[in-house]
Amino acid sequence: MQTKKEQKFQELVHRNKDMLWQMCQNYRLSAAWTVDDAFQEVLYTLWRDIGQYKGASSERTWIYRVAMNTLLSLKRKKSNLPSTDTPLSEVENYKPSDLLDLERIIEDLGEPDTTILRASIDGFNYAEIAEITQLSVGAVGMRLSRAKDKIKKIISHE
Amino acid sequence: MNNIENQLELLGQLHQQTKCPKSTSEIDQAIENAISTRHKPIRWGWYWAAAVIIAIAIPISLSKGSSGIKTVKVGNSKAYFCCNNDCDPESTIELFNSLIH
Repeated sequence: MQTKKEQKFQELVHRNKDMLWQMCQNYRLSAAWTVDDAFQEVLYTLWRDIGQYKGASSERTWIYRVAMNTLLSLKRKKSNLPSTDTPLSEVENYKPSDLLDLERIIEDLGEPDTTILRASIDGFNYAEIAEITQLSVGAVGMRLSRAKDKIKKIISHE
Repeated sequence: MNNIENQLELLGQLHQQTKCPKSTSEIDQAIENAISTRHKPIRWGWYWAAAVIIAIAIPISLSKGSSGIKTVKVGNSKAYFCCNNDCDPESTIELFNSLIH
C-alpha cells in the first residue's frame, strides 16, 4: 500500500524520467559511475528532498536543480579516479560528431558555466537558471554570454 | 556566433528528444529502491539510541572519575591523590605523610 508521498514521488519521476536520464547521460562521470547508477542516485536524492519542495519554483526547475547537485557531487566523490567518457560515448551513435564535440566543450567549461549553458539549451529562462544555480539573474546572463564567447573561440581554434 | 546559437539549439532539441530507455517496471523498481533505502525510521532510532547512551555514559564516567580524586594538605601545598576502587585513599595519605615527615 503506497502512501500519498510515495505516490506523489512515483508520478513525479515518471513525468520527468526523460529529462533525468538525459542529464545523467550528459554528465561525464568518473569510471565508478554508470548512467544507471547515476539515475538511481538522483532518485535517492529526490526522494530524500521531496519534502523540501514547497512549490516556490516549478517542479521541473526544482528537479533539475536537485539532479544537477547530485551529479556534480558524484563527479567530485571519485575525482581521484580517471574520468571517462562513458556517458557521452553512449550517445555517440546517434549524435552528430560536431554536436558531440560541442557537448564535450560545454562539459569542459567548468561549473557553474556548464550548468548554466545546459539549462539554457534545455529551455530554462534566466530566472529559472538563477533558481537552479542559486545565482542572480544578472550573473546568469553575463556568464551565459561569456560561455558562448568562450565556445566560439574554442571552435574557431580547432 | 549565429552558427553556435544554431548548434546549441540543435543540441537542445536532441536533449528534448532523449528518451529514458527504462521500462515502466524498471523505473518503478528504481523508485522502490530509492524509497526503501532512504528515510527509514530505524536510522533515526539509532541516532536517538546513540544520543541517549552518550547522555547517560558521560555523567556516569564523570562521577566515577571525581570520586577517585582526593585532596589533602601536605605542608603548605595541596596534593591530589587518584585512587581506583581497590585503594583506600585515607591509608594512602597516611603512608604518604609518614614518608615525608
